[in-house]
Amino acid sequence: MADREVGGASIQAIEQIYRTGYARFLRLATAIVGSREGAADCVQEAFARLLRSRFDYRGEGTLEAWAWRTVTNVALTYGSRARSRPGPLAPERESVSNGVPPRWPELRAAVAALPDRQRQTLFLRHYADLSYDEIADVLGVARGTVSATLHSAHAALREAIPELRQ
Amino acid sequence: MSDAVLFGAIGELVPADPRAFGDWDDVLGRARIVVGPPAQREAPRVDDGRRKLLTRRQVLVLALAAAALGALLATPAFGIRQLLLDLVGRTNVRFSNGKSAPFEVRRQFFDLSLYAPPRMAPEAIASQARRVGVFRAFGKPHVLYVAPTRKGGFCETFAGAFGGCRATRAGRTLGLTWAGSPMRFPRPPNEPPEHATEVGGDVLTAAARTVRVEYEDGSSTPIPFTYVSKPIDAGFFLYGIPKGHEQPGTRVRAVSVLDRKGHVRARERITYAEPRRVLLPPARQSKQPIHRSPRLPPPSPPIQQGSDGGVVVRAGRNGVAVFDTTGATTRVRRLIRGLGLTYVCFSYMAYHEDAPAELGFMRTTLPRVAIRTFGVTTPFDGCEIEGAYGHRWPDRNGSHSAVEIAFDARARRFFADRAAARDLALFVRSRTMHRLRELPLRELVAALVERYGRSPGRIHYAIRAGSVVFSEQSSTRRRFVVVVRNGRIARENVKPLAFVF
Repeated sequence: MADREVGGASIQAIEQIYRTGYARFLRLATAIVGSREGAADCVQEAFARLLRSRFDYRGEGTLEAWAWRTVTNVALTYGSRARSRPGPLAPERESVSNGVPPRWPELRAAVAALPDRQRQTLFLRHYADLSYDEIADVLGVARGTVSATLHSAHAALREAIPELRQ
Repeated sequence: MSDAVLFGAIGELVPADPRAFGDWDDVLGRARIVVGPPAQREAPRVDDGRRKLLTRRQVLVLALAAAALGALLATPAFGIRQLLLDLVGRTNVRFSNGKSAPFEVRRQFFDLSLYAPPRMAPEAIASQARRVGVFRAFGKPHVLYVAPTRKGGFCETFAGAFGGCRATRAGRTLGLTWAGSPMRFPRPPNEPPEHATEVGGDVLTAAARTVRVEYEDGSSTPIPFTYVSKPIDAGFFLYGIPKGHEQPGTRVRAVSVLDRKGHVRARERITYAEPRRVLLPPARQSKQPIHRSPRLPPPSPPIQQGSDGGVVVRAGRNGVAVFDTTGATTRVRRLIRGLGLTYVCFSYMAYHEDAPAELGFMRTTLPRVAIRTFGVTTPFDGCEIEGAYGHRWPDRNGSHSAVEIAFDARARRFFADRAAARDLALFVRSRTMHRLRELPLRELVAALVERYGRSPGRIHYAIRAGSVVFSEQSSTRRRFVVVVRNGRIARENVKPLAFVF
């Protein structure tokens, strides 16, 4: 994570986060939004917002956590606006991609059925590749909460898929 | 099952793309931060307490200047607005002022819907196609023709380049087509990697003021585009990428559309991917597929019925035609043997008065073969089965198809004329003739006489004004001609029934 900065964030610091983490930001946004194009737009917009409000950054968390939070919020807003377009994790999208059905259809449906907080935590863990501490920082919760939420999410997914049951 | 499997599966739901790279300049643009040298990029935040306020006089002067500028821009008579628009590359064109497109272009638009299933047909109104501009790429002119569609969209074609349709106005604001360096594998070491050489497309927002080509080195170029008024209501562009943008780091990265305030309204990226060598397993002798008929409804009344060589066809108003081959004669049975033959039905219709519009499907000959045409009007003029035998001159079936079923006199004439046109075309483009055509005129005539005598089959030839004129008359008395001069086809009238080169 980037160093804490006091009294505003520099453009260079934000640019560095963008350049080093772009692929992960894009992957997280894709998971939330459902389309690669929409996700790319969300990441761009999120970082534009970060730049516009860079003077509001007071160093109360890491700059990177702030970036993850912003990308997540922008993607969630975008996703709620485009509810008619199901995301890649929604079961309605199962029969696409040139006649080749996507893998793990049950898992896809199970992820889509998770409660919002569990799904967000899951995405930050698996697609943003963040540690439990970093997820806690992004979501503004305790590390233990992250651990418990992820545990519940994984359990729900195992339960939903017969092949993954012990 | 272990967590590794679960986590792996979760990962597969949204695959990672480590090659994805963002566009920082676009972020800066959205944040309205001026791009400049690093020292200037970070504009210092002015503390309110230290901000130097403008004097009242300065405010008044600025307000007057703004008002005058506003009046100049708002009043078309001054022409300032158009001048500024022209500077950034937009040309406004009234669709109604465009010249009507030539017949071939109108037919091209019409045919876009001819063979497509109803839901996929763009339904371009071909009769309204108009010429609305000319774009030059590498010195070559490409005339732009556009036509509205029945669903509110449009079709466009840049002559000699590419075309497309938006049947409706739904979809992305910026539609991008790009042509690039040839995909070659392995790419020669001295050849640059894949890169765009031309970009073109359409823009669906009237707010578009600038179309900009962006390069990987961070530079960008505004390019000319033409905005066509309603019912098209869209902008079009075609741009040849100048030299010097072939190598990674300098290639075209994206095309963006900006409004009058410089805000990005749409942006499409270009993704380059070098072809990967795919190691295929050794080829195995596999059985050729059998092309069966799909499940189709029966032909609906009124039914047309006809036969040739023992093959009976029943065709309905719904475009479904069923060929019954159980009674085929021995000769026809030999001709239609094979896994992939073309079963066709055709009609003369709008834009296809010189030769019928036909739709054929590859099918394996079975006792019953069904096809369904889209767009070809019913009742049909005729149906046919094109044999799998090769079309070499002289054709063993007299340049006729294996089965030719005419429902009316017009189709009978078509079959007769096409056979003559095909026969002549096959002869002129045969390997032997290609060799003889290169000879000087006297030697060519001598070679023709020696090989074919006075007339090769039904074909006649004559020497006129330094050219060899090959001709053949159909049983309908229609005469087809191909004139060869200096080894090349100087004139011919076998199109669209046959093709000669």
